[in-house]
Amino acid sequence: MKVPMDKTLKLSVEEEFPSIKAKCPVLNSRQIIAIILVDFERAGHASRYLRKDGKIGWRATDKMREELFERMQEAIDEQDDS
Amino acid sequence: MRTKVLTKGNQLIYVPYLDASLNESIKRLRKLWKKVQADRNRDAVYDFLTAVFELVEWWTAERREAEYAQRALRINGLIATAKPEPFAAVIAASVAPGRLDRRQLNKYSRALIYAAACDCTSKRLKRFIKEQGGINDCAAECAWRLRRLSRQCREMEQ
Repeated sequence: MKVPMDKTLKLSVEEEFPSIKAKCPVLNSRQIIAIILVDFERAGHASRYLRKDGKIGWRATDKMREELFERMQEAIDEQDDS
Repeated sequence: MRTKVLTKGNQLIYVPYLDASLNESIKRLRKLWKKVQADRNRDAVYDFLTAVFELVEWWTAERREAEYAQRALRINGLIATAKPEPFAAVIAASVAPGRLDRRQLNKYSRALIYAAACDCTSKRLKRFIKEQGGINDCAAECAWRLRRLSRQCREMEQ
């Protein structure tokens, strides 16, 4: 399985992967990744771009980065509280 | 409406480019345009132009730039011609209608057309335009080339 994507997006896809796999066990990994990418793109969390080698790559958008940062901050705050 | 992302043997997986996804791309550009408008830095417009160029770049790689441009116009309630110019369509769709005058729209789109015709990439766009003398000079060069091309076509017809 090779989909060119940046680290942030890759982590998010990996995080999402098990829940989609559990919902649709008949799908193979490539189909699941395609579903996740469509969902992320529709939500404005991922975008495509043209790589140097002429292939289409995927990357996380600022929106996704901001949301991940907020989640991380919340997790840190909760940890501090407990 | 699809991007081939994976290949293994003869198997292909396609990721559709939905209207909602296209609209998100336009929304990102609109947000960037607002940021550019609020910025006093003269070079800020290059961020917007680079983002527009980047979007049309991958549309063109898929050879679906006209279709996507048409959809971008339609989604944003603008009149779409049969084969719209992608740069102009993306700029028009991302900047609220009435905010950008026609001359400015033509200037930006011509500068980007010229850069694309010179095989410029989105990463080099700002430097390329600056090296050519700026946005106005790039747009003028594009207009001059288009005029020359249409004159040549007319001469061939006669």
